[in-house]
Amino acid sequence: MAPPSLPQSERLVLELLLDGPDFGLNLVARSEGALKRGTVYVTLGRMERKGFITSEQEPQPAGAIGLPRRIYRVTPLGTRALRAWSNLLRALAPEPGA
Amino acid sequence: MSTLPPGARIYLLLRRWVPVTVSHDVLEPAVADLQHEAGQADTPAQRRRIVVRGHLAIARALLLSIEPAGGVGIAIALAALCAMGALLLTAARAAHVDGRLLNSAILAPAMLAPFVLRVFGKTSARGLFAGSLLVAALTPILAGDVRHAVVALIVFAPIAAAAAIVAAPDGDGTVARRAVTAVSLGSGVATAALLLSRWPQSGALSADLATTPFYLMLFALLFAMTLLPPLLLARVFLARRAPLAIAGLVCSPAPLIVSAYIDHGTLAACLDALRHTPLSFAASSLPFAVGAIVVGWRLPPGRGVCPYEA
Repeated sequence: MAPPSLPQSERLVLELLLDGPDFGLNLVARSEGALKRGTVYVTLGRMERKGFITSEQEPQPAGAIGLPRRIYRVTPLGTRALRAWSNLLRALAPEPGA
Repeated sequence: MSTLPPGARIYLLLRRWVPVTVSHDVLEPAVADLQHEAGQADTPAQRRRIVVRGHLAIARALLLSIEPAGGVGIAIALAALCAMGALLLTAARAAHVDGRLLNSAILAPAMLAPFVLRVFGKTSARGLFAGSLLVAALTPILAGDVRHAVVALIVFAPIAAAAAIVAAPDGDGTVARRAVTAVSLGSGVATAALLLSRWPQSGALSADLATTPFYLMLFALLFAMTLLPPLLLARVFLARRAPLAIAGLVCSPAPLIVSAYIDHGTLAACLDALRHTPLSFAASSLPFAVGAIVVGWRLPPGRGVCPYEA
């Protein structure tokens, strides 16, 4: 079995969502170029299937035209995954003077 | 003047075709964000830029969400094979090369099709056969030659059936059952295409016509058999599939060299002929090479006796 991994893009999404729920396009804008609008939805979909985030449709006012936007929020599992990954990276980092 | 918001048309068109998960995860949020962003634009020019950028993002996201086993992936792979064959066919016609090169332009992508379909997760022998045949028929149509598509169906159906037999996974029924299915399908399609091609002239049904698919099938099987002796020999030393497939590739020019030897009488004259027509030789070898790799891959590997062992 492949070892569990948390790609850079997923880590970044989790970090951004820890500040509060947000839309896909806003995550792209807040990532300062690290996330692309052509790939962010694929990343978000994959993370939702992993259980790291959840999403729901934004309530639309009556008479609004167009599709409702999807808002994403981090799950407790996603928070734990991010924390565990950070701990792992810290544990594997070379010790000063080693 | 349309009142639909930007992205609505593409959403309505694509949601019928893409898998539900892709529609939910990618298409819906991408279109919703595009519509919201376009609604915030200050000027028409800015709105146009947003709409173009949003559509490009949707296209990229959809491409990235293609799964190997998905129907869209298979369709794209088959379309790419057809396009490759059509390009080869058009280039070969423009260069006025001989008929063998034209045949290879159709046969090579069609024989690659079962392999590609396996990579994309298609596992039934019938599916491999249908995909292979589809590529053989569509390649000449894409190159603007409908007549050749019918000819390809007649000639290629038994070969596609043979390719499906060897390329199908072990779990897909017994070998005998797969062989019967493939021969029935191959002969059936070839007969139907032959009848269709003669239909406008009201050609009478003759014994020759009825037995043609059978002889084509026999020819295809004999063609595959020529590669078996060297592969069986290689199997004594090779225990894994990949080296056996490479051995098949190395052996594949052998039938052509032998046929050239029969045509030219001496080995020197044969090699001379091959040297003077290298492009034609390489193009004629393509179907042989693909077939040899498939047969080598599908051959049950041997014990892998090392020739240097005591």
